[in-house]
This record gives sequence, C-alpha cells and structure tokens, in this order.
Amino acid sequence: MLSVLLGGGPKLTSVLTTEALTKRYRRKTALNDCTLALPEGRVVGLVGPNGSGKTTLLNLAAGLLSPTSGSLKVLGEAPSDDPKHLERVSFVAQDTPVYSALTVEDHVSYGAHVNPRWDRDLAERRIEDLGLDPRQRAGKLSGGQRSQLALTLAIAKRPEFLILDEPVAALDPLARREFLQVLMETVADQHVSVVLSSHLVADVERVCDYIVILVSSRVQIAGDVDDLLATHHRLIGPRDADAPTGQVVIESSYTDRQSMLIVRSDGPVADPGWLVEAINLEDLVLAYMGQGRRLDRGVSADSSGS
Amino acid sequence: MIWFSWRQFRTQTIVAAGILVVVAIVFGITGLHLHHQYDTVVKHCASHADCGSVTSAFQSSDHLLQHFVQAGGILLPALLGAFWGAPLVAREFESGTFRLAWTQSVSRTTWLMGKFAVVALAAVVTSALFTAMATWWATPFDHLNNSPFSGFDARDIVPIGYALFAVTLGAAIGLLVRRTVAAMALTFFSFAGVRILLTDYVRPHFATPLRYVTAFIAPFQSSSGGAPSAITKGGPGANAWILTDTTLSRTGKVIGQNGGIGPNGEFNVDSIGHHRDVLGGLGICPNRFPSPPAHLAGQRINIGPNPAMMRAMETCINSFHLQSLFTYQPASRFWTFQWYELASYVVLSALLTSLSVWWVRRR
Repeated sequence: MLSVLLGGGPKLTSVLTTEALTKRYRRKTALNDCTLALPEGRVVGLVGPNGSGKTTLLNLAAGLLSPTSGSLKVLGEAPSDDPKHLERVSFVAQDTPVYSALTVEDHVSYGAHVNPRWDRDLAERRIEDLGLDPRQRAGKLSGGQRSQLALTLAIAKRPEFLILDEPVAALDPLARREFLQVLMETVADQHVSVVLSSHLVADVERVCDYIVILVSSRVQIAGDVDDLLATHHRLIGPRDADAPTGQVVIESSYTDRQSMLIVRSDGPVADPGWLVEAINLEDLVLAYMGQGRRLDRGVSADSSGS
Repeated sequence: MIWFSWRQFRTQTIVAAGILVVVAIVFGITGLHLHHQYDTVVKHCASHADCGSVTSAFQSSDHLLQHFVQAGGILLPALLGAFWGAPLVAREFESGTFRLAWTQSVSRTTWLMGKFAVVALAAVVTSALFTAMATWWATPFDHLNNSPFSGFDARDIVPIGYALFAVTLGAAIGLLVRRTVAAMALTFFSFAGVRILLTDYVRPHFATPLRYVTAFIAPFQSSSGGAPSAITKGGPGANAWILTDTTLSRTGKVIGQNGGIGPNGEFNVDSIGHHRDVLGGLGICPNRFPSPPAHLAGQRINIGPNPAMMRAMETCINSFHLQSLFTYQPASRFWTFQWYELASYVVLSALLTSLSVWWVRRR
C-alpha cells in the first residue's frame, strides 16, 4: 500500500511505453492519444484493423517518426538516432525492404559493418539454413526469402527489442509458417522482447503470449493470452434474460429466442440460466474490435443487437 | 558506412569509368592529331601568305568534337546531378530501404555523410578527368581564339565545382521530394537556374571591372568588322571579357549600348525631308545623306550595305565626337575567376550538405 502511495512498488519493466502519443500528418491523424505499455521478455502481438495506427505506432517506436505530441520510451529511452540506442532495437518494416540491387552476401556484410553487436556466425548459419544463395541479388528473392533476409539482419544485430511490422502479411501460408518458426526459435535462443503487428489473429495466436488490441489508436484490451482466454466466456441464454451480475459484456447478439454474450469475468459464472462456453483468441479479438468500432461511432454494446 | 555507400554506388562508377575510357581514346587520337597539326602548320603560318585560310580550315576541323567539349563541359555536371545526386536518397525513400538503413546502429548524419561523400568524390573525379582531357584537347583552338573567358565554363577547374554542387543539390532535392523522377527533373532545372544566375549576376563582380574610354568607332567603320579593333588599341585587349560597351556623347551622357546608339546598339537615321537627316536621338547631321526619295520623308532610313550611305553615316557620327566606355575583366584575371567560381560552388555545396543533415535529423 505504501509503495502504491509512493508511486513505486515492484517495477514491471516495459520495453515500450507510450503516454498520450499522437502523430498527425497534414490532413489525417494516424495515431491519436495512445497510451500503452508492452511488457519485457514477451512476444507481444499488436492486433487491430487496418488504419488503427499499428504501423504508425511501431514506426514511432523504431524512431523513424517523431511524435506530434505525447511521449514514448523504448527500453527506457526516448527513441533517437544515437547509435547506442539504435543497436539495442531491431526493426523489420512492413514489406521487409531490402536493397534489390545488392546480393544476400552484401546485406550480411552491411549488417556487420554498421552494427557493433553483429553476430556473424548467426547470420551465416541462418543464410545457410534458409538455403539462400549468398550471391543472389535481393531483388530476385521470393517474398518469403526476402522477409527471411530482413529477419536475419534484424536478429543478427543482437537486439534487446525486436519490432516487426506486419512481417508476414504478404507471404503465402507456407512462407508465413516458416518465418514465424524462425522467429520463435530466436526468441527461445536469445533474451529478446518482441512486438509483432498483424491483422491476422491466427499468426498472432501461433507465436504471441501477450496481446494488445488496438482500435482507432485506443487500446481495447491488453494482457497475457492465457489469462485473457481464461477470463472471457461465451454465454448463451434465453432472449429476455438479463446478463448475469459481475460480468462485463463485450459483445452481444440475439436470435428470436436466444441471447449470446461474450463477457469478461474474474470469477466463475454461477448463473444456471446461462450456458458457459470457452472462446478462442479469434472470437476474443473480433469481440473487442467490434466494441472498439461501436465506441468509435458512439453506440453502446447493448444497442447493437441482431 | 563508406564501404556500403560505395557498394551501392559501384555500378554507376563502373559505367562512368567506361565512358571516360571511351572519351579518353577519342580525345587522345584526335587530340594528338590536332596538336601536331597546330604545331607544324598553324603556328608557323605567319610566314606564309595564306595564314587566314589555314587558320580557318584548322578551326573548322573536328567540328562535332568541339561542340562536344563545350556542351559536355556544361551538361556533364547537370547530368551527374540528375542521375547520381537525385536518386541517392530519393531511391531509399521510394523503395522503403531508409527504414532498414535508419534502424541500423548508425546515426542518420553518418548515413547521409557516407552517401554524400561517395557521390561527391565520384562526381569530382569524373568531372576533373573529363575537364582535364577536354581542356588539353581544346588547347590549340583556345590558343587560336585567344578568348579565354568564352570557354570559361568548360575548362580547367570550375567544372569540378559545378559537378560537386550538382550532385549535392540533387541529393538535397531527393531528400526533400522523396521521389526519384521528380527529383531528377527538379535537379536538372534548378541546377541550370543557379548556373545562369551566378554566371550573369555574380561572376562579373568577382573583381571590380576595369574601365577604358576611347573615341567611338562605329562597328561598320572598322575593317575587320566590329568593336574588337577599338578595344585592342591600347585598351582591354581582344582576349578580355567585355562586360559593358557604352556609347557616350561629348558631354558624357549615355546615349547607347553595345557599341551603338540607342539601347540595343542600333544606328538609326531618320529622314525629316529636304535632306535634313537626324542621327537617332542626337541631332541633325551636318552632312547630307544620299538622296532618300521624297516620299520617305519622316521615315527611318535603312543604311544597308550601301558604301555611300556608310560614308555619310561615318561623317555624321564623327561630327558628334562620341566616346566609348568599356568595362571589362582582363584576360590576366582568368585564373582568379576560376578559383573564385570554384570556391563559390564549393561553399554552396557545403551549405546544402549542412541543410540536408539538419533536415534528415529533424524528422
């Protein structure tokens, strides 16, 4: 209690914290008043519909953009182009850009030249494992190979924090699985915090143990994936029954005779009038995205029936 | 960073080296012949009778290459600016690779300076080699023309400054507009604009022009057909760069420019009838002009290639005791001007580089 008053307590370290973070361009607002904290040592999935501000947020975190207002800290520092800060963070940008005129080998030498922590063995082993021809031009690689090359550059840098912006969005299912496989191996081998944005829940479900759902720059919910799945349920009950007490309704839908609710509850649901089912991550994400959309339009969850 | 910038730029430098080798071969073969021709035939032609025809025959040899030397000297920097400078940074934005580059453990300043350094060095070396070859090749013609300032922009050291400035300008524009093709076009035209501005408004003032006043001689009076004969007699010399040629009345009033009477160097005689002829704006001629038909009274008389008319004009002009005032830069200032011009463009390049660094840091 005392520690709470003092504002201290056991510090939950965050790799990324933002405070009312806003990025406005001349005409449109890309990120508006976003406040969040991503825990250290996790693989965080940042999920949200297109235009929710995921890419802007991650570009701000990588130091490629500077905020219009608000603040952010990455590994406890404001992002900058100071090499001491840059070497702690790796960024794999959307569409995994590489230099198409240069060879795979050139990219690896480039990484070695510009990164003091560069892990040469790791980079060479990865290129070999991927079966990439070192003399192949990057422009001639397939989408999957190109993203693997970008990931190799990012992890051989030996960062403390790895940021990936929609890394698998453009890949076919096989390439996507291989990419995520490598990512998981890396996380297991190195002590690295990861944030990965995606609009595909299935990808997030495969690799992430923590999820942040972002709709219109607002965090709808953030938490450990297992915890979230344990505290959310689908309730099915009679059409005209009130929702059981102690439940927070996220989404509700109705048929003529039935009500179906997705709720968050900290304890077990005891009401015998309702059938309780577990939900999967996809349902959870969709429910929160729907809630975010409705909040955007200024309507409450209950009035959106059937 | 330098290594990587060079690696990205390798193809361009190889292409440039290839072109320079071809140019060297062409210049070498034709140039040796020209120098030989000049040393053996033209130089000693003073002892022969037909020196004029020998000289003009020599001057028209390798006509295309003479144009190439002049046009190449002027165009090369602009091309380097558009094809090397403009895409340097713009392409990184267009392909998104700046996101890769800016998240390596290198500050943006280092990144930008590495790129600038490589392209600047390549441009300086390329233009220095080209200009050295072109200057050597054109030496016989330059000796013969004896007008160093007319070839100023394509000789010796100034093209190096132009090339350095052009690529820096291109890179800076690319950084600003972030699109390669737009940056290329903008670079080409803005480079041309800066060159014209500095050539017309700054270069003449690198040193205070000298002044020379002499009796006015109308162009059609001199045997060799022009003002130069007036300036060679103890004046600026035929190899000087004449900035202004003002015609003054006996009282020192400005009455004409460019060796004529009137703002455009024209000579106009207005007939007011009864053989009373007026020299544009000056007054009535004491002599009479060969009979203009009466019905032309009040109209302007065309002097034309009529010897009687010219003689009448000469008498008329001489009666007004006009003077010519020349302001000029003597040929002896050629190298001073080369260094000043080079320095101007180096300073502009440095300025653009610092602006670019500031711009890339503030984002």
